[in-house]
Amino acid sequence: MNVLGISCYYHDAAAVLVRDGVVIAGAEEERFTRRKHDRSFPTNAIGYCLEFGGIKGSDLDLVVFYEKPLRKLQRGLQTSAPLDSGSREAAGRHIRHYVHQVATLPQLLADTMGYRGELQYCEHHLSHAASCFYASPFEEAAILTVDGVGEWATTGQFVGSGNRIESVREIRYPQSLGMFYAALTAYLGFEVNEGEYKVMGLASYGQPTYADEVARLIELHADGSFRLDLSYFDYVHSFDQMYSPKLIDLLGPSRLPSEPVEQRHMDIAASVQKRVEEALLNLVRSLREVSSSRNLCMSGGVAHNVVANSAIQHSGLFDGIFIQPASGDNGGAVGAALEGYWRAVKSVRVPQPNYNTCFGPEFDDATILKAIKARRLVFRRLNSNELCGEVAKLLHDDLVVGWFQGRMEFGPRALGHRSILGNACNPETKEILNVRVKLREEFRPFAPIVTEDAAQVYYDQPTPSPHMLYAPRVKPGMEARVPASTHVDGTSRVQTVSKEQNPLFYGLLKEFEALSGVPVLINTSFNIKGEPIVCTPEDAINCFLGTDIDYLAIGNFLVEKSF
Amino acid sequence: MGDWVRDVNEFLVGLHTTRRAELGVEGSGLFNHYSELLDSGSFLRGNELNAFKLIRETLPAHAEYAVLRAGLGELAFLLERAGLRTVACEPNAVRFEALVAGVEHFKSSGLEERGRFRTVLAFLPDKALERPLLGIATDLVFNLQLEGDESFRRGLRRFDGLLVSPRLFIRLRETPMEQRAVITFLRSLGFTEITEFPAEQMVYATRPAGERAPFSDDTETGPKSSEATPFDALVERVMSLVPPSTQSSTGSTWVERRIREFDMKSAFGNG
Repeated sequence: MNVLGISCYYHDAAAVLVRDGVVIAGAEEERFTRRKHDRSFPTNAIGYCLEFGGIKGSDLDLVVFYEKPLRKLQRGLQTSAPLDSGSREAAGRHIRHYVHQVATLPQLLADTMGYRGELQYCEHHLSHAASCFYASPFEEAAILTVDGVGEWATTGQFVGSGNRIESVREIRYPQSLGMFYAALTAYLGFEVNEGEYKVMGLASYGQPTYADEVARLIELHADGSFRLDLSYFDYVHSFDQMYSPKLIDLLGPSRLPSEPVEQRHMDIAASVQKRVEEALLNLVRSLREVSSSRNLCMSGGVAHNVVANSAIQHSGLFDGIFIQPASGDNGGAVGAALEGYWRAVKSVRVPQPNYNTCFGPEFDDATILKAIKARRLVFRRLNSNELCGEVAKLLHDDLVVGWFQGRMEFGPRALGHRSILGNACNPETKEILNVRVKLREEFRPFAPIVTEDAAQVYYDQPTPSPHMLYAPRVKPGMEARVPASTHVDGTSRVQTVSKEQNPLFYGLLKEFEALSGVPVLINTSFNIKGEPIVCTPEDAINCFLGTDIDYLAIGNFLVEKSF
Repeated sequence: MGDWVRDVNEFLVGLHTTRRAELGVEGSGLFNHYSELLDSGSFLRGNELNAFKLIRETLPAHAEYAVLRAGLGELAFLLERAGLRTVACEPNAVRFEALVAGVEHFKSSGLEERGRFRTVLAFLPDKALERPLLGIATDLVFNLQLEGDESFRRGLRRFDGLLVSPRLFIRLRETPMEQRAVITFLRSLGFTEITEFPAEQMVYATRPAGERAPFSDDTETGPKSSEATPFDALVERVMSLVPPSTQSSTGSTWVERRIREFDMKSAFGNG
């Protein structure tokens, strides 16, 4: 049975193909259109999924949209009524546009892919819940979803068992942990839906000296719920402003994007991060009380807060934790397709012990070679062992290497298929990557990638972390061995790699270990600031040539710059 | 007065005990708030009784009384029982159904005094049958920033007088400063004559003597803006069907669901 899941029209549009209960293909539309967070109907992503699956649109058994559009419209209308006149006009335009998009969705499916079958709609937070539970290694689990807002829900608690998920309770808009973090992201001068990672990174440089003030913004209840004091926030009735003047009265002037980051901003970020961790732990603790399960699944945009994830893991409230690597709206396509599948069949679900998120396109040597030759680049063809040995040497010499191998990752993280690599042992690597390659803020950390068997030697990470979803502390005494990957607060957003998961990358780490004594590299996504992660060989070569990346390992080819 | 309160309360408790048993807490329009009041055996609360007392004993007589966010109609029925021409405004569709059921039961019980009771599925009344018109807002909490909404402001300007509880006006206002802001807001609408009733925690606001409310003449507030478009009419119509948040103003924000069978076919879905 083939089920297509679609998410679009808000941000991070994506399509995913599920066959017999397993995701076999998926991609974000942005990777094809090269527009970051592209929200448009994912024509290209759908085309890729169908091509990978070897089917036509008319062969699909079911298509599932990742949310309930009319319910979302209901919220839009209710919240548009009290908007100020400027925002109300904008809301009217958005709603008209949204109505048009949703109304034409069946026709669009027919026109673009020839699908004229049933179109189903999965609740937004159910999509998130399904995206983590059905992809998890657990037969049963408690499920927590937290994001800005879906239709009405902003937080959901569910329980999953076998091939069914039950919604237990939810918190609804405008009470929203995601909107709280987004509003403070805007206050600190970063872009909403993009800069939340920066706030998290910035928090490590500060002290939570504003904890009392921030606690006034959001109170936490003994039953796990939370309540924002909405007088500090404007997002309910304004499209332009997420926070109110009262927040400025409380915390001081907001920061403009062009203004420098000061210690005060770092302290506010630290205070906000602390409160979010407290709120998430409170939610998880209450979930533990309403569910008998010892397993936890998490999804929704807030589940990308790796620092909070580590706090949850170290709390010991749950024995097993699985977090959906694509926890944003792109992952909604995963959940919609999986929920649609398991609602349609009666068969027994088999837990997935090794969820692999690399659902995207890959390219054969002929295609790659054609792209290299088109740009008249200097290259060498190497076998896998030679490639790993050569790249390890380059990295050990503090050079920066672009790494383009196999199927593209689905989700915001490059996990060793579309990566830029650097030497974790060199303390200058961070600056080299930030300034010469990534063109991003100096305070942002870089993540290490380490062999799974050596991970606990370097990091206080109790379980494998194949999807870069935790930020454990670097073990005492190891900071000096991997200085480039150690954030200012002594943590690292670590990714572990086993030989079974990714034999090529594992081989590269072992080669690097043979030279340096350390099986750890710096791994950052293969893109520059403001652009999506590369998808095709052409994208990779463009990024390689447009930055100070020294070498490009693409397929079996090692490409160098001749200038 | 005591008899009227008892009559109205008894008839509401009887009616809604039956409705809740048949339709459930949400389907009956009670939601958690009224369900708890039903369990306590009394729908009429202190602020409504205070308003009723002020209307009966202190405020100047008005020709018509509009109860805003009338809920199940407890205060509106009490006013009607006292022989006052009343219009009950309730924007929530499910709760409005409960209100209408109450009207029918009210009539069949012989409690209706003069047979002129009106109900409106909206925030504010559509028209004034007689003047002067008093708007009564004992609990008008929506947790929305309505002060800046021009259509809401225009609607309030249509009244000749307003009797409001500042603590429960538009949002919960616990501090004196927040409550004073209500008076400032009312003054900005032209209600410059303010009488405070501290013991009842109510404020009576009216226009200067001789100034008439522009109820039937919206043009007084300026040329018709883009708000009066068909789209806005759609907004208002859909808005009237939108259930309010079932969350109380304090305490837990959880909404219990316990849904296992999700409606995947609908673009609207489970409640």
